[in-house]
Amino acid sequence: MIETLVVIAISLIVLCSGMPIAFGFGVAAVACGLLFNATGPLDMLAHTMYGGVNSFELLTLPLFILMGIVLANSPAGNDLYEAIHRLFSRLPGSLPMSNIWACAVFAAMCGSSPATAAAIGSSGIPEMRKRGVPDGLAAGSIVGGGTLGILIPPSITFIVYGIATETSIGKLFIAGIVPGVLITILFSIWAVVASVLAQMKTQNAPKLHYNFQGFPSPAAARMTYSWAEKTELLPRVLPIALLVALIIGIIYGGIATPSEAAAIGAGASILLVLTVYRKTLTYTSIIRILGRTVDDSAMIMLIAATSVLFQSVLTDLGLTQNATQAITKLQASPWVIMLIINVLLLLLGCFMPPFAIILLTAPLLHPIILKLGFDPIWFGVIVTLNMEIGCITPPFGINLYVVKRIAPDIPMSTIIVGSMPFVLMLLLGIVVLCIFPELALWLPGKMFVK
Amino acid sequence: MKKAIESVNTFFGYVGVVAVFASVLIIIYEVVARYVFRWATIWEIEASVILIIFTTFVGSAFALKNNAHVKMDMFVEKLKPSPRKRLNIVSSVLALSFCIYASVKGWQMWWEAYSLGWRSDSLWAPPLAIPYFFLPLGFVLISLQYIVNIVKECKDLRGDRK
Repeated sequence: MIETLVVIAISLIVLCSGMPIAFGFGVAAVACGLLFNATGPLDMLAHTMYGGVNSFELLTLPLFILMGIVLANSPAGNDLYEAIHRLFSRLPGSLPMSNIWACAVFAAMCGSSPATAAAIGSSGIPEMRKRGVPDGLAAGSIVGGGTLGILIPPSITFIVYGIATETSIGKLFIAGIVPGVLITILFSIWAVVASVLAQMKTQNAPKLHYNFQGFPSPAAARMTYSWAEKTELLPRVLPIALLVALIIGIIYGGIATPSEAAAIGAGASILLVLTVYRKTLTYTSIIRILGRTVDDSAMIMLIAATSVLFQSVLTDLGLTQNATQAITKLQASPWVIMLIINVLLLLLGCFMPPFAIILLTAPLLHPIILKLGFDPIWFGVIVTLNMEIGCITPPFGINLYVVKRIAPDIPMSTIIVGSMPFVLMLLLGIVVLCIFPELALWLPGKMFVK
Repeated sequence: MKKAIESVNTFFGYVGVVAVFASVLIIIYEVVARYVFRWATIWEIEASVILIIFTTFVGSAFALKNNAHVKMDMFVEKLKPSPRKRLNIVSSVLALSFCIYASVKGWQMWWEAYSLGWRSDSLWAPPLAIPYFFLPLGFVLISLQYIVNIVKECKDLRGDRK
């Protein structure tokens, strides 16, 4: 008991000291190991860290990171958003809604939340504000929509969860599709409701010039498009659609492993940028893409290496086993324990990035989940939904900062308030998935197993 | 000295980029060879994993130079500048000592694999001394970068006092 408390205290102090998480896990592991004489894991320190990254599955990570960075630095997100907007243009709330759907499609090529938010938001937010969407809703739809990046495959959190719990990454990817569409629809419903509410508010105010969407329009923005204009962008969006279909088809059809799909996706996205978007490439943008690829890959993979080291110390001290025993001994119903786990994940989500939380907790939670009789694939989706909320909740809601960087003049409080309805929608999604687990499990069950 | 260390890390960072691109090409080749031509594939998957191991450990020094390692700094940011800088130096020294410890353990692991001529447990069986080399190399480069950072932070703190 004392050991557990000391280990938690050391880890908290080290991680909160502002040290990079990758080294924080290492320092905490060595400190606890020396203190409690866990010589085994310390002797094997280098082997353990090497083993943590010596896996073909983990290769999925840098390859999908490369693909996401390549596409996020191209105008693909902009094209996507504009094309979807032209289709939806007659509906109320069409602008925030098309941003949310553009995030969903971009998420099918990119496995990271902040990257999705940045790719769609950098053109979407200025456009929405120009056309009179309230600041809070404009910011919130990108903060919320961006989180789809880790739910809709490919997804960094699914990869990390699959590796940490030895669950099939391919099945996890496919399991994320239906919940991803569900969350996108829930987000869209809020976008429509919020737009109608904003419209009613402004109608009581002195009459302004109203545009098609019910927002007072400062500039006479065009809101209707002819069929020619609606289809004009299709040739530019078609390669994106093919890329999405290719990756999901490869994984669903069991044609190749997720790592191989990632390599094909990365290769195809480089080809796409070199052909369709060649004019937008500059020396600085190429250097940025290259540098960011190494930065992000090395950063996450080093956390993977040191978190395995940290886990090996915990296991050696018997803490992992104790935690499992203590929780399964509780005479509580599985759903009460599930509720506690969700609260714990949400709390951690306020402070740590998703992949670090999963690397830290999944090896502890996995045996508990199996003991309680839950499906590990379904639980992977639940964890990811929690991590999506973690991308929104302050102080470490990374998507809030992405949006703040795109629109520095929107106050942080407006961004946070505008994003909260999206947190509620995600919570609703968790409840729906607990009631209907088939939503996550039906599609992977139909899959050609690989 | 600072410049030399940083340019070495930048150089290795871009070697890490080449390694990522090489593994993309190798795996695409592997997919075509295996699923289209039905050739036996022997070295491709292991080689691409080794390339990514290089990027992980050696690229981490580049990421540290770019301040790209994610950290939980929201509590530290609440502190006043002077105690915050002192805390930064303390945490950097702690991280540095972990990296030195990991380098020592890493060199021991490498030496064992090298002197005993260990080979990977696969059909291709490359000598393990090659991938094992990347871990200690990476941690030595990270340690050097941390020393550069700590010297910078100390100078900064002393500058404030004057």
